[in-house]
Amino acid sequence: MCGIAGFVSPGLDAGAVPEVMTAMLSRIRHRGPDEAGYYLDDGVAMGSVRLSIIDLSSGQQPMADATERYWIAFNGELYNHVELRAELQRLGRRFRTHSDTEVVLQSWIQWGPECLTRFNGAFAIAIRDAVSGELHLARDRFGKRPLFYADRGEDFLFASEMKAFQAFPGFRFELDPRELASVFAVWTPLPDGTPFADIRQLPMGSFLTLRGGRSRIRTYDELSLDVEPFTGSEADAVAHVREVLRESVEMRLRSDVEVGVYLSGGLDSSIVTKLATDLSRSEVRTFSVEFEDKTFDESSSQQVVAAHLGTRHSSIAVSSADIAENFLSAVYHAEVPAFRTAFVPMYLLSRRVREAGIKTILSGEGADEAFLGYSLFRETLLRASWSELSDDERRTKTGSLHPELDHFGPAHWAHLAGLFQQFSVEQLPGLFSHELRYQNGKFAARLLKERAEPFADMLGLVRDTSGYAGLTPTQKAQWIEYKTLLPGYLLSTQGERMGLAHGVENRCPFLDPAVVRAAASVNLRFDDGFVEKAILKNAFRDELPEISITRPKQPYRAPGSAVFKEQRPDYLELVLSDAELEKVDCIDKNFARKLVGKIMKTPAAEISTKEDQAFIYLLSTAVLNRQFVMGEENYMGAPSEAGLKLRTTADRRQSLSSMGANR
Amino acid sequence: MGRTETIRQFIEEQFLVEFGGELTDETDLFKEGVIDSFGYIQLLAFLRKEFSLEISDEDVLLDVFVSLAAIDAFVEKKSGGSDALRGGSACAE
Repeated sequence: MCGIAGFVSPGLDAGAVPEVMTAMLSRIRHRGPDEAGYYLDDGVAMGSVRLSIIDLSSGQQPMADATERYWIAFNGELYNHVELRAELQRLGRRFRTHSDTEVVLQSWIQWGPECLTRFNGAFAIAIRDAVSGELHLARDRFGKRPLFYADRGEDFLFASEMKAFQAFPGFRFELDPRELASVFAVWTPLPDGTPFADIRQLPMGSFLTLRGGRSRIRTYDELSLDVEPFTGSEADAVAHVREVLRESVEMRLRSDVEVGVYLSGGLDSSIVTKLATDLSRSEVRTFSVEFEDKTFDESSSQQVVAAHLGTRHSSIAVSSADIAENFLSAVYHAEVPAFRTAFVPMYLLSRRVREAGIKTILSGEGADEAFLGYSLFRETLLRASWSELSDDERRTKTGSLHPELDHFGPAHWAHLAGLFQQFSVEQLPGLFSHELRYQNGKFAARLLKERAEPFADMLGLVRDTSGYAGLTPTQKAQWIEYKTLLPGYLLSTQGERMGLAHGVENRCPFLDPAVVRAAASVNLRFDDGFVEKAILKNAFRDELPEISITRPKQPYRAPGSAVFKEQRPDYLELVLSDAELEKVDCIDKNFARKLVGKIMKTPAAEISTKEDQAFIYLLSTAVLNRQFVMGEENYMGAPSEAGLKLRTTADRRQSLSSMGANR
Repeated sequence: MGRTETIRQFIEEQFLVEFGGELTDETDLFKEGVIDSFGYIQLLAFLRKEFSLEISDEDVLLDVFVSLAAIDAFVEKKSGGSDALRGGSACAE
């Protein structure tokens, strides 16, 4: 796991190139505290900061093949590097290191872009072909690792985190109201979007080729949810699910350093922990967050699972004060407005993991998307069949949706029935499953002066996706989750970005392609979907404590606006003061003022979820404005303690050598 | 304050909107993202209390609470066709 950055800029002063490259890497040095390196050619630079996990001694980057035609900067892990290496060796490819980076490079040379379909991993790659002059960028199929780019005509920049661009001469960040509207409305940027004007992210499962100043993006892997249904018995399906998960965890335990597990106490992380303890020779260490506010705390089930599986467990207790104190740092690493504060505790947890000497963590992300864990899926099934159900069926199923929310309780059934009745017919083409949720987003989109249709880009995305229209309502719901909330928040803001803030990489066994495929083949084959993750529970029922199986899913949450109201951090002034709000160009001051006023004077229990989310959006956007648009260091939170250990530099610039300046 | 004004003011304060601009009395408040499930229950509680209404399950299921005009008409009907807050008298003289 590492971070990469680079640029193609024929016009940049050659003498300044090493300094610019170094400064860009320094901005993301937290991602790779072990070593750094760069490669320069005429008009081109690319580099990496490395967190060494596989082949600690000889996996330095950027790495070239023996002819020095191909150069690679690689961020991530290839879990099937052992198998691919063997295959490449049989084809006559020779290796100089034991690293997975070299397997990626040799695969590219052997198979070209087609190699990407063979990769099982989490990665962002930059490969430079010094002969053709092409630069290729690629990203894994689920968007686990980030890759941003800015195509500015004369200059093309790329990096694992946008903050690297701050070091490029003349680069200016600007919030993009249209992108923000989409972020507020659907909770996350779309697969190619960012909150900033002229910065895009490479969509998951695609690669970009830059040649002669022109870039072209192609998709190498489409998310496929309508797979052939599983044909065996339920017992066979259970065994199949167990086996693919076991293989996935086994593959993700491949590491030259110790691998820990994030244990939330829920079903998914308990399964990962169980398999990790089965497959590890040494004691497994588990880590979790406890909340001082017991409304959000899951520590009792974490302790039960840890004791049952015999892990060495440790946890950190997170208070409102901790969230307020670390909010700036966490937002700086997230780089995207957030609708919750739950990513801040993950920032603190990764710091703890790093202090414990662990660089690699397994987590349960991806299970809810694959095995229909979210209440969203049940709600979709319910609304889609609303007109065919009896009152009794409607009542029972509505009551099971959100046991944790009072207003979904029996006392309010009639109200909910009226509401669901209204949302039982699709209004936004292709987005039926998310229409209720998106009402909250529509509220948050009112934070913006420009009242453009906030769902325009999302509607366009599903309209233009081939095969989407033929999916079932539940599969569409899954597709949207795989393309928005999972990569745009759970894996990034709450996952990868918080982990890498302290040099900890996460690995997600539920996001192995074989697991996703297996889940798609068994979902709704043996149950009606109203018992969450029924088949997954059946697969591990006998090996986990009862609480892991019987406890209803508890969404991982943290206190929201109440934190800031209670703690009154200095930066709250960014939304309390009219003069400060004026500094965020795109915000509707009138609405923002009303929202903040209501939040500040209303008891927390009377603040609705959408108001709470809109407030966190407003505050995080105002913070990002200070950090990125205004470039104010004192709003960027705690600087990384990692140093930039520049070990590898390869300067192949002919223009300089002809001037006798090659170093 | 009259019935319609009372309801309008509650919605404006509770849901941080202003009628008169893009939001009219006929706007579907659900589809515009003004009212969510939580807000819907707050609205019904308000109507019950403010106008001493009995709201049955059937009423709620009749699809009446989507716009200010519809809510207003419902309250008017349930209050017996008169403006209860103004004393119930149609006589203004």
